Amino acid sequence: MAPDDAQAQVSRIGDDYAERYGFHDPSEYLKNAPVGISHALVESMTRVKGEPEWMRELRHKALDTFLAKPMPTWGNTGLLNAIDFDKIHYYVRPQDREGRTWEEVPDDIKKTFDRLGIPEAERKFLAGVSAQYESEVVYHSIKEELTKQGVIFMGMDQGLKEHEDIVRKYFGTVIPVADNKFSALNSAVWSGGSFIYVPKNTDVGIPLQAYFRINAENMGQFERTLIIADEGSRVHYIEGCTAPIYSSDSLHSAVVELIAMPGAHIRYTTIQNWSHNVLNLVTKRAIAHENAVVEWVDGNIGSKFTMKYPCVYLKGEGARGEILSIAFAGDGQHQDAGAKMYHLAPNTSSRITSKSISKDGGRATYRGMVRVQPNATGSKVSVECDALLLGTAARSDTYPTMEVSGEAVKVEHEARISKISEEQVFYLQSRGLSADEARLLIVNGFIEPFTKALPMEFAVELNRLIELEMEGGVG
Amino acid sequence: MSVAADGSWLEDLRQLAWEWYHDAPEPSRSVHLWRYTDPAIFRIPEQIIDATPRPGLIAPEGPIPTGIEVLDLVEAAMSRPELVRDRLGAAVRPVAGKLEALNFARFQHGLVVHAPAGVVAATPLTLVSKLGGPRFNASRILVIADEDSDLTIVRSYGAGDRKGEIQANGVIEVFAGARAHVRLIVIQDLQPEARLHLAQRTVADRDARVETIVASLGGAVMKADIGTVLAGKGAESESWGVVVGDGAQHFDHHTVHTHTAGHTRSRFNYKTVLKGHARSVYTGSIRIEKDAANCEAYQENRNLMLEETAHADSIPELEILNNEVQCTHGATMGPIEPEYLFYLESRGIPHDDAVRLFVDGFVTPAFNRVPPAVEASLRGHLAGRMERL
Repeated sequence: MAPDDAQAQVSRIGDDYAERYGFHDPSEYLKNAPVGISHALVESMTRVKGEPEWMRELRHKALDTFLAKPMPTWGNTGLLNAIDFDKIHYYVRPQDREGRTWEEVPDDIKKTFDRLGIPEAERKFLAGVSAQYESEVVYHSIKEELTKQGVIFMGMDQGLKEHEDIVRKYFGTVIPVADNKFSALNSAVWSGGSFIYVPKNTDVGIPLQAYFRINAENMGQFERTLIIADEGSRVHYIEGCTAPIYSSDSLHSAVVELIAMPGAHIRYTTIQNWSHNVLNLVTKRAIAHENAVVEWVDGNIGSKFTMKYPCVYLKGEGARGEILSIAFAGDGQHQDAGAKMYHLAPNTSSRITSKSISKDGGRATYRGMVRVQPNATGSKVSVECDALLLGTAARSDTYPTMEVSGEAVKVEHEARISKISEEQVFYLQSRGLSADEARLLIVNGFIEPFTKALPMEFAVELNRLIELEMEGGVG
Repeated sequence: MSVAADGSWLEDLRQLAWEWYHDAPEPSRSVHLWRYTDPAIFRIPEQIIDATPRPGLIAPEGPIPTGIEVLDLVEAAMSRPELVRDRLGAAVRPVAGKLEALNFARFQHGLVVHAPAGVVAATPLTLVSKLGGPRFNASRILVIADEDSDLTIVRSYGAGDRKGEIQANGVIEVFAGARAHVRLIVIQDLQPEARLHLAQRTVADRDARVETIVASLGGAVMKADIGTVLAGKGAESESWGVVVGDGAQHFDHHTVHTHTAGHTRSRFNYKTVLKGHARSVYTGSIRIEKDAANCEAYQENRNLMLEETAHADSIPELEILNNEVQCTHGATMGPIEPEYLFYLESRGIPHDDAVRLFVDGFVTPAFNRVPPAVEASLRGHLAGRMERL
């Protein structure tokens, strides 16, 4: 076979998905809420959503990649290998979503809502009882303001429909489909998530919250978010909320891509508080161009097992990246979280601050990667990991990786692991606090650098949440 | 297994190890231990593997300290099975890896160093290998320090007369009994073409104290897997490492500190100086087991990068399963602070001397813990290395 023929053949691989799998009536197919993943499902999804051809192709190829890629051999192999991909609903049409009744919501979730003082309407939404959170009034005025600025802020599906040119240009460029098994899965079956474009030199004054345009689509299992901050612009996006999100779906696998053009500033805040049945396997990555700043503020409180390592590619000279994270692993939880910084250009700087608390049988893992390429002269990296162990059965791991080339760079990494000091507790007790209050105060002090980076109402809720998690704690 | 007094037990085990070596796959690069070093570097054609005994491969230098026994390992397996049998291969297990199996199966010279209970060696014991002779060199040392003994061992790998590629495979096992105090200093100053794979494990019993230094200076490639098991309450370990590399030298040091008993302490400090296209890989772990309460562990890896072309990787890992713990680690990579050089140069010290002074101050804290004679030897090797830098 001539090389040209071979190449032509290779490039045609996967071109005939429609012929192979396109014979279903997509609505009919999806109406029965099929379980398991297949090309037929992907084909039906993409046709029901009315997506362009390139996205259809991308989904099918992503599914092939997902099926071909082996499961990671690290993290928590026991839980990963136990995932039964044939038992998962990958897509449910909004109109087919089965309403859950308030009675079905577990008591501990209801109790947490109470303690956090979450309003009634919100509770129902967060618990999955209603599909829409009635915040239209607030959202409407914000929307007008944003439109005036030229800011695009909408669901990803809508974004693909209305701004296909932008989406096509950037979708999958920060996190390629084949980046890892779960990014491939997400690329095949993504639904929901946010699409944001901030025009040049525009400062979006208020934090954008998915909360404002919250609906069931947005908090999907396989949401996909893409944020592009054009030159000199500034945006703060807040994903999720401190209140627990009850989901009966056992697998959540999102992909979040951020692009900070020269001089832009993106802050992305997440507080993940999935109910404790969820495996949360998320890929988050940003590209920072010249003098851009990307900040990930990442809190992991909920889920049974989380694997999440927000990442910044410092691609342009003078770019800066910051990752500030906390993880709370209570009994039965494993938080495998961390941070990645790739210094690819001169004079880039980054800082990683990670705080973790392991309580009772909980396990918190920091897993990090810092790479400084040979041309990234004059770059600076600082990493700080602090872990607190509460209770004899708690476990803490630190797995940092540093790969550094070059002389004119400075990399510093530090980690400390300890328990709450009895002296501190004793001191606070002598000031009239109970032992539990003293421990709570110490824990809140421990995570303060994180709380300080949150908008006030989030910080207050987070502190209350930690109080709840600490109840009955052993020191 | 029945104990044969004739030493055939060792023959049998060595045969098993050979079969294991033969069948074992090459180390997997997906695990940290081999992530940055290609196992093919240590691949050896079987026809050059040769277990012909080579007494003198490890040569004691100077007098053997009074009270210390130094025995041939194979002979001791016959004459002193009670001393050797339960320990040989217990700290560095033959099945730990392909190269560990190869050593067990084909070591050409092995020594047992025995400090009987209460014996305090007045002088260090120096054991030297100058790698000449055949291309494949495999040696093995088993150190047994009985309770309340005190012993310093210098294990030196020096340049021999052989030019061209040498494959050296070394294993050192140390058993420090209750309250024993053992210092083990490994100096690697091999010829530029040599490749060394070293596996070293120390097991520290109750209240034992173990200090180890590894000075990695020569050779083309050195891969070392060095570890301490703090197995008895109150045991303490201090580990120092000094790596100086330039040209295309490749160093890969892996350390493991396992606290299996409570009230144990480990302190660990590796310093690396790199020039040219030299690369240093450091991967290491501290693990505090569930039942090991009240432990302290410190781990530090500092890399001094003297040229832009140098490369350093560092993965200092912690696995903490007990909450009654004090544990920290740190790693840095960077150049000499320009202010230091400026200060020294403003005092009229030429640039190269200023660099040398700084490097000296950077690495030598490791040397303060050893007896003066050993310190002098370490400084001598380092000075020689710095001359060539």
